[in-house]
Amino acid sequence: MASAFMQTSALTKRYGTTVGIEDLSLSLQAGEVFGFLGPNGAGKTTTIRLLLGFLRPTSGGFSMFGQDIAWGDWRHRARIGFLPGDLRLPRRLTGHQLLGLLGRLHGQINWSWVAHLVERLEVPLGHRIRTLSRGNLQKLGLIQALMHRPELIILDEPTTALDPLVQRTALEVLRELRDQGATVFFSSHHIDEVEKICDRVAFVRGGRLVGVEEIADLRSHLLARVEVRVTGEAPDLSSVEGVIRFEQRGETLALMVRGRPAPLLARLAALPVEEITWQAARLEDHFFTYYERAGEP
Amino acid sequence: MTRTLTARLLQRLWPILLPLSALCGGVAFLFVALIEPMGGLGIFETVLRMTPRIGQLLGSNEIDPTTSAGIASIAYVHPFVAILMAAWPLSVAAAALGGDVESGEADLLLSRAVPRRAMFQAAVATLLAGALAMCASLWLGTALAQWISPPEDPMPLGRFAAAAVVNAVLIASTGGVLLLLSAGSSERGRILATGAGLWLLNFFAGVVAPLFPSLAFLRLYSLQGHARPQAVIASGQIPWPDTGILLTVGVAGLSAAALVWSRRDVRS
Ligand SMILES: Nc1ncnc2c1ncn2[C@@H]1O[C@H](COP(=O)(O)OP(=O)(O)OP(=O)(O)O)[C@@H](O)[C@H]1O
Ligand SMILES: [Mg+2]
Repeated sequence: MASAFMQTSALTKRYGTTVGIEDLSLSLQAGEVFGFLGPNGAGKTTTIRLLLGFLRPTSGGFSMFGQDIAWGDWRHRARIGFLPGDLRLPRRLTGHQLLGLLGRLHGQINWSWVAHLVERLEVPLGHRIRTLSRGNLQKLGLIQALMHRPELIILDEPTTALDPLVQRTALEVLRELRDQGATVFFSSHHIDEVEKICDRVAFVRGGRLVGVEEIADLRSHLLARVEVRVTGEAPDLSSVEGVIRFEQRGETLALMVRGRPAPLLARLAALPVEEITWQAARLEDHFFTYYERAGEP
Repeated sequence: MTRTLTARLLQRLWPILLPLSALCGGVAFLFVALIEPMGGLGIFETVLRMTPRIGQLLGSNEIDPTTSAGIASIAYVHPFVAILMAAWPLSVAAAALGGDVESGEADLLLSRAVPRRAMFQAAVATLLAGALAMCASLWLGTALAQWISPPEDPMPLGRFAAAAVVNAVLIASTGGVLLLLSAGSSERGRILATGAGLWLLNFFAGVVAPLFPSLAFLRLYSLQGHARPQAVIASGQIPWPDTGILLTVGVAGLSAAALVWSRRDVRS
């Protein structure tokens, strides 16, 4: 198939005058894990709900599995698994009843796969959902998303929605599924949470796509804020490779460094350094500096 | 798929449907069974004559209060039964569609290969199943009473069955309007509040207003005013223009609801 596994073209959703997401064009390859990053209100949930057919695009569209998806299409969703950010499951059903109901809706379910998931995540299925602990509820949420072995797995902020312990198992299961050919698309606030598993990340802010990068590339451009205190006269370090900002306040030097730290470290080694702090910059800083758009609103 | 979704909706709503049906049957039963212990038909006739407004409310201008059938028919329009018959479509409207959006059930179902149409069909099937159950129970109440303590003048049970069908049509058309409200909403509380408010207006216009000649024209603008099960019992004929209006409003409401539901945003 020549076309991408999933592709959005100029996908736009406005809520009245509020922008949800604007002019989003993305393309996912089969088998990759794609992180969709952005701060609060960036449009992550809006995008995901557009892709699932919950929201009607204001303009633009998307394709999945090599087919254009029109409003009202639903058969392709048999191949999608979804974990919402605000997971709500029918409280009066037991886990068994819930999976039974969803199984009937799916038609063909490989129950030994479901049993494997249940065993793997250690979820008690005999209890009513309202009595489940938060962690168990989240695991059940994960099982309902994966029970039909979806080819495309869409997760809305799983790292916020899942407790750390569940997260670890969830990441393992997702990796396993990816190795079996599944494609994963998930949103997150924090790059440090997704870089362990993502192949590529997109960054959105204010409804706009800022950029799409390979995680490996991004790492080599990671930014750090460095503060150095030296005794005596402080030298000018602005010309050292990787230093993109340099400020001198008495004996203290404030620097912004991009990429490999080695050249700066080599230079500092020769100085009478009293104290040094090395701090990873915020995700937004990475992206905006990377795209040299830091000054834009 | 629609069958699975209907079963799911009925599973959620049977704790409401069961008592509603039982109460309908109970009221219908009592209106026949109490004739004997109250000292015969005379007492009813006297009460209806002495309080003409209440008499009219209970249908004294449609029925013959000197017959058991006339008294038994009161159960089919009694305000208490009218409330029961509104409670069901309200419950369906609050649980399905907009209620599903609020509870997260819509997210759970629509994120998989479930067309919105199937969810809508399940809501309609549930509405109709409940309407039939309640009206069957209403009729069974009358029939059971006639069987256990047969009145001196036997009642035409066939006509009562037709009257029950007219009531089922009223429930369905009320449901059509309320499902339209639900299809566009995302909040159970708002569906219940707005729905109950609309129904009260409808009850006022259709049942209370006609007691006052200057307001009687309001009847034409309500569903309740077009539901005339007692006319069926009195004449043996379904009053077509009125029942037709109920059917038309019901079908129009459901069609509009289907359209709204198929086009709306399901926000989180
Ligand atoms: N139902 C809605 N009505 C109006 N505006 C909305 C609605 N949903 C989202 N928005 C607006 O659209 C923008 C994008 O919201 P969205 O929920 O997609 O962001 P997000 O990236 O998922 O944020 P978060 O990290 O907080 O979940 C925000 O400005 C938000 O206020
Ligand atoms: Mg969100």
